[in-house]
Amino acid sequence: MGQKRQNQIIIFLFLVLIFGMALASIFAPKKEFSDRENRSLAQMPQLSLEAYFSGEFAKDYESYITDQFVGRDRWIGLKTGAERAMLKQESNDIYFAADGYLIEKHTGSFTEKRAEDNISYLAGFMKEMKARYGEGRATAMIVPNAVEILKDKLPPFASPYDQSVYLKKIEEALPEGTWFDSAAVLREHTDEEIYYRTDHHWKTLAAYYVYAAWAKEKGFEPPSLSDYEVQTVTEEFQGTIEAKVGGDVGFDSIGIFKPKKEFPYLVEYNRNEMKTDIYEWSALETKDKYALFFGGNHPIVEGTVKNGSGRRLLVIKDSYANSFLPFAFRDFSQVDFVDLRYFNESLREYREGRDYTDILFLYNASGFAEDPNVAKLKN
Amino acid sequence: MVFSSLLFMFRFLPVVLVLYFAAPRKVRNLILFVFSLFFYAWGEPRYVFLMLFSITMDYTMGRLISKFKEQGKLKKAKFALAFSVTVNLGILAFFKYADFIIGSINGGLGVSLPMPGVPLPIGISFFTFQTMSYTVDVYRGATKVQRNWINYGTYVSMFPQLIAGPIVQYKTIAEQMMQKNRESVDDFAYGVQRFMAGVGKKVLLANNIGVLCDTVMAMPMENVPVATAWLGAAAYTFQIYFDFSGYSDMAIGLGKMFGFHFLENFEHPYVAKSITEFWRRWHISLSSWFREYVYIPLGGNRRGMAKQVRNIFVVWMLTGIWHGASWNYVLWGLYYGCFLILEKFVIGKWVKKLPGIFQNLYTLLIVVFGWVIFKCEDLTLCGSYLKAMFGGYGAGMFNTETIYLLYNYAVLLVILVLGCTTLPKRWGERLLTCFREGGAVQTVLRCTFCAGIFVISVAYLVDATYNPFLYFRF
Repeated sequence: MGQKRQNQIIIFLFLVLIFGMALASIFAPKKEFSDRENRSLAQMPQLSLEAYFSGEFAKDYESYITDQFVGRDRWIGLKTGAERAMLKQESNDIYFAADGYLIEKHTGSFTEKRAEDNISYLAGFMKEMKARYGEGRATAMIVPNAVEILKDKLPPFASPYDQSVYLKKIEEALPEGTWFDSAAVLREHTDEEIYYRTDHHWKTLAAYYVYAAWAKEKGFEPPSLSDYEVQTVTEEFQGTIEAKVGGDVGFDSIGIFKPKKEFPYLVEYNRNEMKTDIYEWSALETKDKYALFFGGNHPIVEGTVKNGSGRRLLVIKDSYANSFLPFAFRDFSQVDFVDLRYFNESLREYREGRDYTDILFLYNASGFAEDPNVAKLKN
Repeated sequence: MVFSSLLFMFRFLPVVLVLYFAAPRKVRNLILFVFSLFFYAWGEPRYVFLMLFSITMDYTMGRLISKFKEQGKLKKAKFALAFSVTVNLGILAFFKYADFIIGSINGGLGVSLPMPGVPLPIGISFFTFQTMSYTVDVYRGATKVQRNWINYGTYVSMFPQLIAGPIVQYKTIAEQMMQKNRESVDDFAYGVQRFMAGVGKKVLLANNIGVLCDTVMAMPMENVPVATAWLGAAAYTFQIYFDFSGYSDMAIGLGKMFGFHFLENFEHPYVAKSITEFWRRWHISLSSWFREYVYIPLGGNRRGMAKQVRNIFVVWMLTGIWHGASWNYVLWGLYYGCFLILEKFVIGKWVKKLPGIFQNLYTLLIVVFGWVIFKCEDLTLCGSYLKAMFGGYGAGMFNTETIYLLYNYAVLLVILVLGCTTLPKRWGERLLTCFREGGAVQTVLRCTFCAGIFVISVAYLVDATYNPFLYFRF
């Protein structure tokens, strides 16, 4: 083999690589939705003169190529592998933490203007709720993320944004007696499995601890662990954080707490669909297994429970509440919840049209700081 | 469009290669021309017309200059040249500097003239410099006139060097432009390897260390301890070198695939032992352009010391402002002008007497501070960054975050330090010479190098959260 031959082989290899991947990407079937990343993928944009000259087409076409690149998931895994080989402790704003935890860093979430604005929307709302429903009947609960509670698991010397600073700011802005300190509850249990390793949510156990403490504060007999039969419904859950790093990542289990003594209930979704089960079992067959709880997020869910309680609860919430709310079915005869990200009616009208005794605002910290829909509290 | 993108590697390049090599030799330049225009138009199509205007104008002026010279009408030739240079500088002034000039007037005189707010055409500084070098060289007789509009257009717009250099002077590729069988297997294979090396430098090294730089730059400066500030400055020093020289490698490699030989643009600048030497190794095509078309015409060093100092300052102020329409670039240029004059007339002989390593340190220190000025378009930020580097905020020498960043980037930093030296090249060559020239082992090594960089780079591009284009201000 001579120099010429060697050069031919190099050229051949290069051509195989670029043409092979180009053709594979062009002819591979296009996906509408990525289960792993839980988002819609960009599609081939429409070519028009206007889109071309404005540069929109170019931008959309590049997103399309990136999103539909053949073997996308595996490439992302390879990148994470390379980062880890370089001894990087994080990738895409996610820490490779101890015990197989992938922990989101939430860089920048709390220092944007929106994070401040949302505090003032919430403060205004809670002031109104306290006046309307009375002392001790309106609660705001912003649950810190894993990065705050599981600090011990972070790589050595990692110093992410200190969420307790942000939570303190919220507490100070809220009217007396409306803040519930879920962080304090969770800090008691850091040696237990209270956050998913591969997903951004808290685990059902954490929701239980916080619910028990909150119920006690609201004047209920707090439930004890022995009131429930804890069932592990899947051990093959890989959540939203896994999708951002890919590669060789472990699995999570999802547990549900079945009350030993359960009251009959009916759940109505979006005023048109009645169900007798709060669990959407088919979700366990999909990637998004956390949607087991109430089938994911909906604009409005209204739960009616025959437990003889005189307390009726309205919850304004994000997805952290989904595993928390089943516990409320013991103490409230009405458990309704709206998700501001999808709810486009007047919150006031909806609330006044129904006879609530208690209000709960429940979000996770980064979700609250980032959500542009918190402004809808004014509606 | 940029080279380090999936769009370029898996759509544009395959199509160009197929059409180019399938086409008869006569139309290959035309194919390159058309695709280069498409490449340039991608994302911002309007300015293609500006480029076509610039091409046509300089092509016409080139023809006129050569005709007038043949007829002995030197005055007219000079006029045509002056016209070409004026229009080119006018284009540059309007599209790149109008806002800056008016903004500075407004700020300086306290008036409020309206800003035109023209978006900057990408690569304008590169292609106007190329077209000017052409008409000047035709006038000087340094190159023959190009009589074919397509060939000339291909030279100006040629996508490998279009948006981030190197600044290719027409005379260096005039012959290749017209040569019918300029492409060869050997050149193409070299081009492939050079392109891959460039992709790796940009995507794997520059982008990754750029994250560190941006992390530090995003911190509130009054809380940044000394070591973190230095780490950020070092990160930018690495980022700009590996990004820019990676881009030049890709350009040179792509040029080779189509049979063009561009001159080298970077020669391990960070091993330089003086600022003078640094600028002989950094962005060579730009410094030689200024030397040839500004410094020497102004008289260079042949008209006494005072004139020479003036000439150096003129060149370096222009070099600064060439990099962007903002005061920090002017400052950065003058900063280098000062050190070059100092080295030439005062400290140069002392520096030479230092042990080698101290010569390197002296050079690097000046270069690193230079990059801080270059990076911070906002001069207030520049001031506070420098203050943090000197511990002016009392934020301590280091904190836990410094340690975290250091050990996170330790492996990458070691690779980058080595990558700035000539060692990898020497080791690679030594390794290859252990085996028979053109033999199986050599082939496997070279293929692994290409495919390895390629595959990992694609992984980073597919998950591209950070892939900046640093020269949009040039």
